[in-house]
Amino acid sequence: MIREFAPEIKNRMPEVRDRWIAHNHKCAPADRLQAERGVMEAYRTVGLPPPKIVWCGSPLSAEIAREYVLVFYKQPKFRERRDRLRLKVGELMWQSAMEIVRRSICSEDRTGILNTVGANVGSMIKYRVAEMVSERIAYNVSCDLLKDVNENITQMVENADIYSRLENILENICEAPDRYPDTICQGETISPALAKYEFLNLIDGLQNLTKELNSLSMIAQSAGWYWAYEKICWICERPESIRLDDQFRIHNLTGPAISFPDGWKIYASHGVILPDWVIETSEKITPSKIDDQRNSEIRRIMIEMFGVEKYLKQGGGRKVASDSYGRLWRKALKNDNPIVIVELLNSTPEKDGSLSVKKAIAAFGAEAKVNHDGMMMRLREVPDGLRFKSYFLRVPPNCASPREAVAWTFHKTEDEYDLETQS
Amino acid sequence: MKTNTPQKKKLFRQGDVLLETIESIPKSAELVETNGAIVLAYGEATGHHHAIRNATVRLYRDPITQASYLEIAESLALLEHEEHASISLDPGIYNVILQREYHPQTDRRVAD
Repeated sequence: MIREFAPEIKNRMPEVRDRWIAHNHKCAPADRLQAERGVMEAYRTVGLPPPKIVWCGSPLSAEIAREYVLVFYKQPKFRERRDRLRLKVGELMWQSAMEIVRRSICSEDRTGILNTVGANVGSMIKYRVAEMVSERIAYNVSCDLLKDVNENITQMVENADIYSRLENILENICEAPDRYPDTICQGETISPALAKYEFLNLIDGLQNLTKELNSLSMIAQSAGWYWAYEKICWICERPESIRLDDQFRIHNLTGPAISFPDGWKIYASHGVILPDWVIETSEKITPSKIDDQRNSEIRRIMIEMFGVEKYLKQGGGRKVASDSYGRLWRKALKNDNPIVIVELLNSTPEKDGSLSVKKAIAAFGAEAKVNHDGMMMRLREVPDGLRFKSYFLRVPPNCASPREAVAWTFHKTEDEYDLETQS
Repeated sequence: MKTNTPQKKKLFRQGDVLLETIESIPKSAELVETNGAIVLAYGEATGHHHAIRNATVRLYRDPITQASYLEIAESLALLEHEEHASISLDPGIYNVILQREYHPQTDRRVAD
């Protein structure tokens, strides 16, 4: 049992961590030869014959192709979802996916398609291989050392991982929440574990314990995601470009935050996914489009991009009340009830918040409650360097105070809305 | 399950999720099978979740109203979110209230 790392080994933690973060953010074309060798080796490790390998231009076209082959072909009842998906992703992406379908299937009849794919083996490969290694490591390395590696490598690689972020984006586009990770094997989302084992591999006596991971490591270092089935493996190119903020969140206010070789582009501000038009034609943001946006995070960013003051002024808004809960704005409408909006302070500070403590106090008052390091305190009590965000929610026209308004958003009366704690 | 003594309702808020202590889970609510983490709300645009990872916590849902309830059986449970401070919750029963927003035709849940 290894109970301590030699200093020269421990000093190499940052090097391994940074190398795996760099793999995760790499934008070069896939090294297809190396990736295919990794796939063959991974299948061999779990006793499977080599699959047919089909390369895809992005996780989106690969996922549509996979859905098409496995769901839409077999079950006509999903035709409506298929048509909705086609409309949502656009003709370019749809045709890319159909090209993958053509390259994937042996024949277009139902039996031919089923014979092309076989069972999903992604989880089997990932977990069987990873479990084999993890059991051996746990037997040979003390818990304290593993905790040290987890804190200094695994968690940091995980925090920087952009591939796990794509899972959620795909779930939303393909209308299939809650099904991961069982049906999809993400090639690179295993990179935090691979980084950990690569570090442990530096230690004398452990080298042989992680050898089964070589195949997954080869794939992760040379390509993007893969979907592993018994007879076919769909594998993706890496992104052509990735833009991140200082917290490794996808972020670009002047173009796509991530773009793939087949034309799939993802737009985002500090990790919040945006409709492409908000970035590509931001001059088209108007108060009415802001009001129509139902996602509060996207709306917050649209308001920030448009300008809070401009939004309320151009939209005919004026402040009608304020208290330590927030500010209440009213925008008159012709021949209709006014729009009443409550502006609330996000009580947990955020590094990229647009409000300094001084500005937050000016807007919400020194008595507004916030959560700093798990403690509820007043704005006047928090350290100067913190930054906050505010956000806007539409409330019924008869709300008279911010407290009444925020209470309404949680189905409570003003008197009932008395929080023990908030964050 | 019933708690022994009725208590004043306490409210705990994390972003767009409010938890309210209640005395019992309505009979109409059914146990929801969960696999590891209990996710109370998903963020569509942010990808962030309000989640509890604690084996002793159970989620119930009313199949008609879709109202959700948490039962924290033993130790403290931690409500976690990537961009909010964690909130620790005592054992007990909680009504899960998701933030809504006014819309002239029909109110809608706040999405992030």
